[in-house]
Amino acid sequence: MIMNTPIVSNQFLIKQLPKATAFINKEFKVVLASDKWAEDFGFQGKDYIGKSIYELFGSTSKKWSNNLLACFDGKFPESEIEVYPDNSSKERWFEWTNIPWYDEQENIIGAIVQTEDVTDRVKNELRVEKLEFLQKETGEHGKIGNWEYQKSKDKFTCCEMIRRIFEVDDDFEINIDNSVNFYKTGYSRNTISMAIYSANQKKTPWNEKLQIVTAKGNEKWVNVSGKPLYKNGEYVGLIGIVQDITDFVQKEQKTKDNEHLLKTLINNLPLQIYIKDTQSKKLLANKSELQFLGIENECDIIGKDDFDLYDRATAQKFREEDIEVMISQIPMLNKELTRTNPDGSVITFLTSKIPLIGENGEVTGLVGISMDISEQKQKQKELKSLISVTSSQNKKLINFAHIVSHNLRSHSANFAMLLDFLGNEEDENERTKIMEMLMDSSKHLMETLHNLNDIVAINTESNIIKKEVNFNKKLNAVLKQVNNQLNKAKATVISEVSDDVYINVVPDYLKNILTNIITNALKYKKPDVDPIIKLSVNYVQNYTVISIEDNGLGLDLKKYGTKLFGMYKTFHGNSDAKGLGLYITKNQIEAMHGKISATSQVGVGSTFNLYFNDKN
Amino acid sequence: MTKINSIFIVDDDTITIYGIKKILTSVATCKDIFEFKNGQMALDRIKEMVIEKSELPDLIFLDINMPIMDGWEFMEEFIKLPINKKVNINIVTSSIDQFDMDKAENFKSLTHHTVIYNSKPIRRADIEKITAAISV
Repeated sequence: MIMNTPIVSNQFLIKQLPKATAFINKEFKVVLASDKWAEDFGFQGKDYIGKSIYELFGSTSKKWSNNLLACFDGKFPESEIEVYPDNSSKERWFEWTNIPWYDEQENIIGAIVQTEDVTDRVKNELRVEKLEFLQKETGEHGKIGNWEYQKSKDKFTCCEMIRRIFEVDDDFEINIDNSVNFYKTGYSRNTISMAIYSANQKKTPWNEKLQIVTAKGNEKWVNVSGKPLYKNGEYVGLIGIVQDITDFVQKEQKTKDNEHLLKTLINNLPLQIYIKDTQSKKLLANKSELQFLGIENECDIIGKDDFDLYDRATAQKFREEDIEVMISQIPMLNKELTRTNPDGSVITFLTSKIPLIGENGEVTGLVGISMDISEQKQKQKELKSLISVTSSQNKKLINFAHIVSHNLRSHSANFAMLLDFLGNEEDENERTKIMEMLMDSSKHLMETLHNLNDIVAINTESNIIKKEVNFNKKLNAVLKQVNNQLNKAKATVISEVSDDVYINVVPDYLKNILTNIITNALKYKKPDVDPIIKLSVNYVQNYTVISIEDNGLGLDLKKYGTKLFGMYKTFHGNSDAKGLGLYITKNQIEAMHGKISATSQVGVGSTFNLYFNDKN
Repeated sequence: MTKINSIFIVDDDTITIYGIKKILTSVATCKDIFEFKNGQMALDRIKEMVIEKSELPDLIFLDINMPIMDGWEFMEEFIKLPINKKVNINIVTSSIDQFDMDKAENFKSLTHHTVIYNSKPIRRADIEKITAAISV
């Protein structure tokens, strides 16, 4: 069959055809083919002549088979594009054109097949299609429009999006000149004009964020970029895009405003504020916090944890609190913390820690707010002590006023009564008796007034002058003065206080205090026991404590304790007891910022402890 | 003239005792007037009388400010004693403090005895009124 084919003699010619060409007989066998064809399908060096195309290509599409059959029938089917995987299994696209093959007698003896590798064309078409799609979609979503200017035709073309951004009517024709007019006068218009000029003259591209005023008068923010186009080094036009970024800019501005507001607020609050991540590392710290930690820049604290900032024990405590708050998700509110500075001063804080919870409900860190309340604490303390001083003074004053009024009243009541009697009394003896009583009463009144005056003097001498005195020296002076009484009572005074003890006192007060307590010990001695008075010294905090112990009657302090140092309180029914001595003693020692206390047991004796303030 | 069997005056001020006694003798006939220098002495005597079952005083003049045991401490102890008799207790004090008056009122509500608060100086009219009320 092949031998009978008349073209065989032209085999040499066909082999050299520049286009991939194959002659296929009705049995689908390749009779002749150009080298180009063999090359395109990778048959070079192989025995492909006389082989069936089914054998050569494996499978072929049904469409293609039908196409060949149509040729055998004398028809001219349309060209087909088929995909064909090559040796390296890359897809290649071929356009097949099949026509009937006639012999010299015009009989159809097969089909002539011409193929053209259109892989690049197909791929390009596909790429363009993809690009067009992407451009359209990106344009839609990103509000991006593109335009082009062709210099040769002075033609400006742009997509629909550009028209939408500029808000122009359908019949408005945009050109390179009027497009510039949409840009806001001033910076924006100058910038775009310069950009186009530079692109034209210096081949520079541009990318700017500018403002436009649309045809409807709306102000918009746009991102514009573009570049000049060149063909063989010759300027032919411009291409560019315009993106409407108004929403973005506005959102960004709003975010910026909010951030600025928040930052201003946080930095100017008189509170220390910080944010920590789950590792307790600082993400934010406001001015107060930085000031407190003595750090200048916020960046020097970011990423640091409390172990970098505080001593180990403090940091550990803080970290445990952080963990507790973050695990429990329960804020720790207004916890009072105190911290001792290296210089010994104590700072008190009011601290709150609030867990930060992310969108998924997980803790992302915490916000800490601290306030230094040391000053308030100090004020509070001062206030408390002031209140205590005031209330004690007030109490003293009321007590004093009460006593004064009571004593003066009792005297005046007596005067009134006695004078009343005197007016009606006719008996001379009785009148003399009443007169004596009046004289007596008057004497007592004078005495009372004198005593009261002394007490007032102690309490009102605001700047009493204290001096350092040797205790034993003062004691000896007192003992010398009361020597007669001591001898009469056969008393022994033992001072265990060493000679080098000095105390800070008002000398007259000390003298009075010692006299009072020592003579009291004599007054309230046991009738049949010689008094022994023992003095000793002790140091408690800021006080030098002188204790004076006796072996006298003693007193039931459970019963009289609160009244012991009261005014006009007497306890033993002694006729010479006026109930003033201990009251004055107490007042004098308190005026020296000291205090006095007593212990006593009935039948054993009493001990008075005098606290002399060393400091003030 | 009204007649009173037994009167106690509990006061550490001799002038007040003199005054009360002087007025008493002029307005009433008193069988016995006893003086006590403080609350403790008066209380001790009353306790003895309770044990002896002797006649308790009809009238007590009581000062507030006294050594050892003051008027209020005396009152506290006195109202605890098992005494059926209604004793007329006249507090006589130079205090015009509301606190003391309230205290007296409080005692009034705690006892069946009569408690009357008098401010010094005590006048003849006051004592006439007191004695008239308890005349035998």
